[in-house]
Amino acid sequence: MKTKSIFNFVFLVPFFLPLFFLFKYVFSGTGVIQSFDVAEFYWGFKNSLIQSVFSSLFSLLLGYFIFKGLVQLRPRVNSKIWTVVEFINILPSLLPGLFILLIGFMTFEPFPMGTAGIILLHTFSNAGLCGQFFLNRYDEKLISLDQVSQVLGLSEGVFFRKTFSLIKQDLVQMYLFLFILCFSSFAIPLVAGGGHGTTLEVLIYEKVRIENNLAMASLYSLIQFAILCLGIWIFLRPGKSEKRRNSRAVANSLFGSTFNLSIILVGYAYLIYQIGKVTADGWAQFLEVFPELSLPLLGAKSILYSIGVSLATYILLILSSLFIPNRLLAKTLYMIQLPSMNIFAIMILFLQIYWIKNVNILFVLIYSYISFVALFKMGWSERLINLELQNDLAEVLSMSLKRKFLFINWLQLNQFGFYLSFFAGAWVLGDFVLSKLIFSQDVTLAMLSQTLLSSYRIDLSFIIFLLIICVMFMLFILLKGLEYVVDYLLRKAVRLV
Amino acid sequence: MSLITYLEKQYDSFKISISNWNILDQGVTVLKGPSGSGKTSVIRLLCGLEKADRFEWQFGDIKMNQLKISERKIGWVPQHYELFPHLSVIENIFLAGKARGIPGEKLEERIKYYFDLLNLSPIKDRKASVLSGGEQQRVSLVRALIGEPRILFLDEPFSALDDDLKKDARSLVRDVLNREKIPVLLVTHDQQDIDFFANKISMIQNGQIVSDVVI
Repeated sequence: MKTKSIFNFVFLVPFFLPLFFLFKYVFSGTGVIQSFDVAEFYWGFKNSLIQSVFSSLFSLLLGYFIFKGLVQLRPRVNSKIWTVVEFINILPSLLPGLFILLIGFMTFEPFPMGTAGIILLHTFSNAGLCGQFFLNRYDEKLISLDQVSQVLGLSEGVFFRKTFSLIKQDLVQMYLFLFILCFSSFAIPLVAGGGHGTTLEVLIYEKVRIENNLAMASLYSLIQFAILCLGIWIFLRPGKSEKRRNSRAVANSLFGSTFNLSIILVGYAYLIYQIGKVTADGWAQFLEVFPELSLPLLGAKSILYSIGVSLATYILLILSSLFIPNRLLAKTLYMIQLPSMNIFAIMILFLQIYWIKNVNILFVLIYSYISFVALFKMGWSERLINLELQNDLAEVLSMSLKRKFLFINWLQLNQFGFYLSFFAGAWVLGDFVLSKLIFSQDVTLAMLSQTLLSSYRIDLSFIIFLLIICVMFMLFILLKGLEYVVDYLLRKAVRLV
Repeated sequence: MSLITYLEKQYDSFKISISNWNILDQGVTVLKGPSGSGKTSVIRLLCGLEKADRFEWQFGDIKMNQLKISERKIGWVPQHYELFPHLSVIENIFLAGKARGIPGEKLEERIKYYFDLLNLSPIKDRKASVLSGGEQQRVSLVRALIGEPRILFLDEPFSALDDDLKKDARSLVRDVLNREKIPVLLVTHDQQDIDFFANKISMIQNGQIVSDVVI
């Protein structure tokens, strides 16, 4: 038990480091409080608040629209196609912000820069996730009532009003979740905000990158951290997820709408057309400027970062299974802020000054840490909770900690661990946020793509993004291979113990 | 002699409070009680999976409460069997035997013995996740016994089976238990289980043993 407590302590300390650095910088900067610019802070905070409030609201509304189309579509496609549809729904929320930016810029011409642009992109990036959210709640709580109501002859409106109270609480939580997501969003406000839509995150970025005023940046970050913590405390709680019913057999629903489905399909068709057009235009430009882009170097760095982050994240995820059945880790991670890139940039700068000189290693480590915190809340925590009984049993069977870790936890978590670590690798491949804060020039494909996007060379920027997608695919193949190797070795070891 | 001198644990609105409770050295002691009476909590406390507020368990010369969970050498068949789903039947059992330090040759002998006894050879390479309820129960029983436990806990071992299977399963389990000659604590609320197995019946209600009858 003593060993476990020490391990807990060692593992958890890094999660409090950002806070430590922020406080240190705030109190080491001379006259920080005195030079605090209330008007500037208010400006950034107001923009953050407005875009978060409306982005979350519109995401839910559009999500509801999509949900009605999904309900209509579900009984009409087979399970494989449906899995793809569900994946496409949540994909925009999982892909790096760069993807949404490119899609937004190529779809809306001229693009409405400023707060409106931020709201537009946030809405489109989260709407699919919201559609899926409505569908999940519907399956869990409303589907049987829907069937009965149809037999009773109720209309959709009456049914919605009468059953709204059943999902009201979930709706509030989802709204809060989206609000936190949008409030701490950085990539989209940085590019789409322009001069008018400067949010708090962008303001902190400017303090770090342009003014080199780490003390003030830290103070702003602390305030932002406090706001996010409050939201997270209300919203995020670890626990087992409710089971979804198998609702594929349901043919009719009060919510189903062919009109909505048609609009969604037309939207996708237009998007595919736009992508094709932009790719064709961009390819010609790409061939012209190819020698000037130093792509091999940027590509190699991108690959190295993504492999490094994927593996480090995987190790962190697997190591976290040593905490079963200790809830301390889960509680800590659920209380930690969502990744505010600015905070981590400050952390990297601090660490680089005092301890680790190699910025590449630091970048990989910090990005893995950010990804781990996010991925822990994306199903990993539930996996650990579900293994608790097996761990109890293994202990009664006198299994050592090593055996429990290797053969019960690691072996079962291996596949999902690699699956999640792929997302970490994909995120860093598309990252231009933290990298822009840390590196003085473009060192990755994503940074190049964002630079081109900022200079309105959207076609070319998109081609670079397609290269990123190719690297993502290669990363996926690599991780899949590693997953098989680890699984094989562990299974072999079970017989050799 | 296996005497639980005292076992106390306060939960939010419920308290386990047991004193001077004897588990038979040989044969089956049944812990009987309605749902929510604390049966499974008693098992978890005896295993050491939950920390009791006050606890003393004298097992022969051994003070079980002073041992770590892994040193207590308890065999446990949980209510839903809880086989490691990602491992095959043989791997589940092999891992449990190795965990108790049974040497290779002896372990293989014991596995062969139980596989023949419970007819598990045909399914030895099947993954636990694809086994039927009856198969899972037999594997779980072997997994509990393979490490030569001091005592065996059976937590509602037949509740997850269909009525048709229960009768055969009971006979099979009784046959195995008769050969093992170790104390068995059977937790159940099923009267048929009690009639079939009990050498002693301890009735638990609201966390307390309210009657204790040797048959």
